[in-house]
Amino acid sequence: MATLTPTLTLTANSNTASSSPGLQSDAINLSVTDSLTTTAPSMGISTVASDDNFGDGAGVLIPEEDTTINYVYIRHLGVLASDGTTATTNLVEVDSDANSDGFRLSLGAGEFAFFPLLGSEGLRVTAASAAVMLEFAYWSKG
Amino acid sequence: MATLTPTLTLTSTDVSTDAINLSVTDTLTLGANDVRKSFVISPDDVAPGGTQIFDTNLGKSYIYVKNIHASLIIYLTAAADTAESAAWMELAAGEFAFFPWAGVADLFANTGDNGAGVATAGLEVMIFEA
Repeated sequence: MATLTPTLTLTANSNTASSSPGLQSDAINLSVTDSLTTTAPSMGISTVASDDNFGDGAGVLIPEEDTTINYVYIRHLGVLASDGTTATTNLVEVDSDANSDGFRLSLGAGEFAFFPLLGSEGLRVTAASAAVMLEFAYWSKG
Repeated sequence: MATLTPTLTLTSTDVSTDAINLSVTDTLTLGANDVRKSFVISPDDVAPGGTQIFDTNLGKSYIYVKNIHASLIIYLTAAADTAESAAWMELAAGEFAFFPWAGVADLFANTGDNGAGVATAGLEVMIFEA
């Protein structure tokens, strides 16, 4: 067993701020943290293309055969997979490898997600057009 | 245009031989007339159908959720299928998530079909319309 410590902060100025105003009169300053027990298998912080095939099909990062809960981190790096340097705003859809009517995230350039994914869902990514580079990791819940 | 800044830090000294110390941040631009919704709810179990927390009329949105109940597990389910087997996220007590929801499906929260009952004041939610 190991420990993963995630911390999320969300900040926004009030809407009267002269620089980077927020949405409303109440500024946002939220910070949450947790201590998660993890176990093998895991995939360390990695850089992958949205159409890579690790043996379960193009874009399948976690196969539905994985029945464990996984803590997932995924981020759109904002560059094309073809050369790893050309900037792109191609959206990346993140959904289930098992259920076509299940969850669906939409990652724009630079956007990220962190969430505990139920077992047997799997995780699949699909770029809107040309494949893009992603930062990705997961840790099995211990 | 309004700005929201999320930052995620992941650290670990023992998950592998290579310690983890990752910090990522983003600057999300939101429209001045977009929705920011912040609330705490008590998700039902699946018998009454769970509790809807997001409707597709908002479109793509950035969503933060945290299970603030002392012990109950809370599941998130896309659309109206509230069977526990249809859930995609399982939040144990104290766990949280942040994700850009595509907005093509509704989102429900429930405590599963294990008879756990209502998670009184159990789920903290913030929704930012993209």
